[in-house]
Amino acid sequence: MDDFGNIEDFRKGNPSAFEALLLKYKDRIYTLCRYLLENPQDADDAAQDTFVKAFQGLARFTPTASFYTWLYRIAVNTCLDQRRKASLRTGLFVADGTDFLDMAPSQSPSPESDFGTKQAIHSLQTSLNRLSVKLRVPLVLKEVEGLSYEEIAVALDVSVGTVKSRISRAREEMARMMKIPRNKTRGETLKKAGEKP
Amino acid sequence: MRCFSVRRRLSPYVDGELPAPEARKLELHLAGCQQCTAVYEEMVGVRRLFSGARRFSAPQGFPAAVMEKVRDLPAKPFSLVPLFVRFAGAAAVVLAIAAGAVSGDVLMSSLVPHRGPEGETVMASLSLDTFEASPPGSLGHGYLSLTGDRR
Repeated sequence: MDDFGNIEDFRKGNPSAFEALLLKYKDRIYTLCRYLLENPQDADDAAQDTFVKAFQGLARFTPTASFYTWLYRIAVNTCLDQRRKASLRTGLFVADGTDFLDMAPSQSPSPESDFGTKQAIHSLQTSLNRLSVKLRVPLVLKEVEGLSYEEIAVALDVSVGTVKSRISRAREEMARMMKIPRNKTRGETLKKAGEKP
Repeated sequence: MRCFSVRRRLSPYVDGELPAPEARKLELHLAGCQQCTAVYEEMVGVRRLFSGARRFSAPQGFPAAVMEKVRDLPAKPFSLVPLFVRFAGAAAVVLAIAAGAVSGDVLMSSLVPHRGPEGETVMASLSLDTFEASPPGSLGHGYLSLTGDRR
């Protein structure tokens, strides 16, 4: 059953329809919360709060946008609230990004390149943590969650143009912080990226 | 296409969000501009790094914890009550002003039931002109009478 079918079922009084939505989106929402909050416990709390708020608001949900865009919007707002609370609590947020290293078995051909990959991911996360929230949120929604510019605009309640410029600025800042080398040829980069833009 | 325009379009180009005609113009520019190509390399480099970024799984027991929280929570239907509560203070002030205006009007009507000398006397008693700077019988009034300024 698709999301709208589940929502209809939920409105008719079937709570298991909500559980189906929860099971479908829990990992995506939790991942988003981890990238926005870093601390696993805070991310867990924020992700749970997101679904509780979704449960309370589902009766008012109007299908002008997709359900998950709506859910992302709740999650982003919940994480921002959580960050404010955390910054009030601790004064200054500090994270080294170690938690974000991919612990899955590496596809790299050698220990050296595996180390290089982990270093690169560590560097990526550290740089990401130093980005302002305004730039970080759309970049994470794009790169980690794979949302389109339009979906990000709906989730953040900003224009597509704003999303475009924020992602562009976020990438520029990330590249500057990570000092990505500029000496490769274009063909080589495309080949390594393994994709056609 | 100039470098400035190209730089603004590089990020959407990397995301495949640039319309095809613009993408072709941009590619033509990149073929002949090393500086823009270098910036493009950076954008692709950042994007490539994200492909290794971790996707998390929600902790064990996450769905159960959420369902536990929502179990006794009724889904809220849309209601005007929260709006009313939010603006209750402002509504009370407006009501008080309106009540004051209406009761003042009623009071005036009862004091001045009809036009005529009696009504005018009452009106005069309510007027601020009662507090004259030079009331009759005062030195000021006498002086003004002498100088011809009769108010």
